[in-house]
Amino acid sequence: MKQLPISVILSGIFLFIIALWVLLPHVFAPHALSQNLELSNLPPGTDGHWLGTDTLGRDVMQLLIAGSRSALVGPIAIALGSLLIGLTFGNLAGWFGGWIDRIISAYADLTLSMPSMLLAIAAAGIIGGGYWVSVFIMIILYSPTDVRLVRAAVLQQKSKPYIESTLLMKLKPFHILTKHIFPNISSIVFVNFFLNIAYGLVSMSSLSFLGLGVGPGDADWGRQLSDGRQYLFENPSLAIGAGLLIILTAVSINVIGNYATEREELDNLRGKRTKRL
Amino acid sequence: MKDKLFFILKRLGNSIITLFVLSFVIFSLLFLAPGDPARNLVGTRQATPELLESIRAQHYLDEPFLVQYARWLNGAFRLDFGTSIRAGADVATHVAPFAATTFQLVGMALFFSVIFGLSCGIIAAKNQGTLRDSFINVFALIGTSAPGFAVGLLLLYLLAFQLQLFPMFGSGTFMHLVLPAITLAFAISAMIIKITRQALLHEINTDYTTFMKARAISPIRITLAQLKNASPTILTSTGLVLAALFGSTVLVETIFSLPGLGNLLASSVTFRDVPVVQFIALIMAVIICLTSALVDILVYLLNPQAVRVSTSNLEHAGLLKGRKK
Amino acid sequence: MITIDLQNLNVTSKELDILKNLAFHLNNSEAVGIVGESGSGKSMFVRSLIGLLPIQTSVSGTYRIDNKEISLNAKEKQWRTIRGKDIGMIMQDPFTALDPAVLCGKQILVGVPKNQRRHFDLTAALTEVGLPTYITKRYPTQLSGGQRQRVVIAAALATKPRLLVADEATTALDVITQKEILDLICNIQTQRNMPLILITHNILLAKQRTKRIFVLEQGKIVEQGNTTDVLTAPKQKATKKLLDAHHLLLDAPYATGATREKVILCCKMLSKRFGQTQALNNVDITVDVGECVGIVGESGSGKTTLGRCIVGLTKPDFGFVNYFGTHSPQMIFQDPYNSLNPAHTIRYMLEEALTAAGRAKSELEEIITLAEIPTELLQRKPAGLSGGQRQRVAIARALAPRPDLMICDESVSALDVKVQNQILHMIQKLRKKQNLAVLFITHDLAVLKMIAGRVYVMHQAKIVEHNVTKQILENAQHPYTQKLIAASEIGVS
Repeated sequence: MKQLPISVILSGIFLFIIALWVLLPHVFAPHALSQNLELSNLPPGTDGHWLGTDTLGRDVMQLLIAGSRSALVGPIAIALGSLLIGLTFGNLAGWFGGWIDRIISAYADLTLSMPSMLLAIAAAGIIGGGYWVSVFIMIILYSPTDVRLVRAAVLQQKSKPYIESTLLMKLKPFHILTKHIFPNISSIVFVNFFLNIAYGLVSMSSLSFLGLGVGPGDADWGRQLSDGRQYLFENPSLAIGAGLLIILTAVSINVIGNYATEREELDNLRGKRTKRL
Repeated sequence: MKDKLFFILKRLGNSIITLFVLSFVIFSLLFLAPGDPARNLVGTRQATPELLESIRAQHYLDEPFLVQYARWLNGAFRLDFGTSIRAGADVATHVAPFAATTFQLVGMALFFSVIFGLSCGIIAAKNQGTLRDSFINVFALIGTSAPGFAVGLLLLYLLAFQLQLFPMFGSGTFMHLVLPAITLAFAISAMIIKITRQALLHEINTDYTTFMKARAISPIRITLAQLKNASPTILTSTGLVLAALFGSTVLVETIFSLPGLGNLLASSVTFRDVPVVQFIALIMAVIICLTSALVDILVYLLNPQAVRVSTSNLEHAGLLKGRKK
Repeated sequence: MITIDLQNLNVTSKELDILKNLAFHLNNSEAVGIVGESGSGKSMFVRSLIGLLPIQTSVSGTYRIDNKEISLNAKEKQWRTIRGKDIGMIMQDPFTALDPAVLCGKQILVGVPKNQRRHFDLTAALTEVGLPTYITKRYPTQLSGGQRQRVVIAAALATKPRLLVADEATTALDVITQKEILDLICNIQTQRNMPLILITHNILLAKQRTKRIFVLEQGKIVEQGNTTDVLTAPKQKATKKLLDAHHLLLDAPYATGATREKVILCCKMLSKRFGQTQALNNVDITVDVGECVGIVGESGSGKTTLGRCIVGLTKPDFGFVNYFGTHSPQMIFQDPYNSLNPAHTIRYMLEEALTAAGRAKSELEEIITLAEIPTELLQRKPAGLSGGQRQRVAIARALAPRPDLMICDESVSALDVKVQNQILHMIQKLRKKQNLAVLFITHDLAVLKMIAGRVYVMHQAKIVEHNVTKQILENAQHPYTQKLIAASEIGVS
């Protein structure tokens, strides 16, 4: 076992803390929404409010902790939805080919050649915005990449002798896909799922930042960044804090995801090398 | 020669077909929106029956969908895109100054990113495993994973407010564009670094590189050969990055309060100014289609032997992921 | 003339010794062979001669060219005065050694020193390696493997080296092309009177082509000297092992053929085309019950496509596959590392195969006895098995549906000779015990001789000759078969 790089360990610890925030908001931020106008705009470092307070006198630290939930639940839903669509249609397209494959690939090509952020903004604006609407739009926009990823992985597996031999054994496609192909592509699919959470976080907080995600005043990092932006120069801790949290979470997920991908590639490489000997 | 001409014509024909499909999708936007299209065209004005009636007449909303589409397309060919609901002016004239700002911004950002991204990518690949490489890698990692608007906000706070190096908000001068362009370039150059480094590393580890070294061919010539072989990947991905660039302008323009296309799009969406939204979407579609066609043609002319890079390859390498921003 | 003297060469990579205390001397225009298994450090030795060791390695020792000392840790700039001019190298894989984006002529030219480039005669350079002039205007992808390797040789010679190193220069090629390229390299050596270092894993090749030989094992030279002396009376185990690693076509025993009775497989007029390439062209073959038939041909001759058409993995464009067995035919693939799913245990795979064939899981015992698989392997996953064991599992799995015909597609070519023999022996036993017909696809005539009673020779998508194995090997009619046999007799594989 090789030791994990320090960056991966730090990212893991950071994500663990964020996960605790998401799961246990009552423990870490019990007073997130309690306003006290007498204590408004306190600077960071004040007793009891070490990141200060916002214009309504709410504790910034607790606000940020409370914001983690809406910042991450949506992205996880996006990654999950996109994963399910990706697995279903990717398997269909990869295994059966033909017209199913052509339709799915054409759709994927079309959405991939457009700036998805602009599409999301246009769609969210026209449909009317809202948190779950945004999640839904994002699933639609994310899934083509996942479909293509699964499709490519299935195609790659399909030509391997061990899959061809299952054909000669006359096994059913569903059995082959679940028992023989899935175990061999699951790691790629899950790493991709994990990375999608980071991209989802970026996309969702972008929409929230533009006022198309959560409602005004809701605890959400993207929204907090946009709300705090108005007071950036008088009371920067909310905007800067939310910005830093988004950046750090996204970077941490990417650090771990990239590490996992590299490990995977390395293992593949090793597999090849033993093959040659 | 004949092959080349054929390829170029074929590729351009392809783009035109794609544009037609896209124009159809864009026109459907009006009808995809929930509710009555006429009401959508009213925007935020008071929806009196008379106004609704006049809008129906003006936009021929009683005619079949395809006839309306044909009418709209016909107008588009004559550069008549309708009237903005909010400004009451001709769409093209209304949008032009916003487009100018965005094009300047995107142009500047692209210039920064290509120069910076390419050189950093080459340096990192050529010094693989050294401190310089890891430094560039960390930069690329943060740039590709951190959202542009958050980075922009931090830059604004540090460089404009704390250090007072740049004007904070507003537009008009060159200096006003520099910080937004840097913000955009931060993400885009990180993507270009990642792409260039990966593509070049792949070439560095090839047998032909070893064979060239074994024949004492000059390092510069070897690097050029490697770049030529890596160019399809680099060019194709850079073309796709341009699409991402337009996507991120919305956020960056909002952060820096720049009156650009993205900003206009976001506010037109909230005001339900459908003709403006359609026009902006069309401009973007044209730019993106043309860029991708140009890139493909360039790749082909540079390297007719190369197998064309398919986007799915890039995706697999995790290169396209970042563009979701 | 050039003298090379290398003493105490040590190469380590991450605490691991790759080369230990190596000494090498060369002062004659002779051909020297360096042989060893893959991983014995042969390639690292070549790379240390021209300063192309991988980045993570450290190197020490004394290195002299023409009595001038050269630091093994010299800067790139100094190495560039040695590479090409003193020592030229021919790479192993002609398919990757050339820049795919540059015309062949230009690739040869760029290596020529600048001041001579103008007067360089490309036609002469190509003629020397047996290529026509129009090759200069071709991209590497437009050439065959043999042609590409000739371009590589021309490019290596264009820098005017005083010593030529060929690092496994023919391993990636087909038998006939291997022989042609080796002939070419050796001709150039004698004509230019230039020393040659031949690096190879194939000791028989070194035996025929070199005067002196160095046997390398785990980074050490274990035996050296005059090639004939060393190889007629090898003292070291490593040398003997290398000598035993090749089937000798002449020494291999003929398989005992089965009497022909009832037809089990009959293919008529099979044709298949993949884009521009014709893979099968009007192919007719028949296989009888309990018979072992060989299909021999080079890579790309269409033999694999034929096998795949018979089991139904590929659909022929035209022609008939008439199969008269009761249970569908099964196939054993070439690559033992990819024929078993890495995610499952051996037990799972075999039980699954039994269930799929409608047999009880309790019959597992029967098929593993037939394939001679020890019971303790059942709990393992493929990663814990050797190549031979994996191929046995693949055979056991194929036996589960009690097939009447088994197609073996190069099924032993990835294995050691000893394991090859065991597997071939087992297949013969199975054939007799189960009355199983076997269609054995191979490029290796020695393997063919040991297993097949009858042979079809395939060349460029066609069956060019068909006869009893003994007749084919001793009295071949078609010029292609004759060439193939002539090239195979030196034991290259």
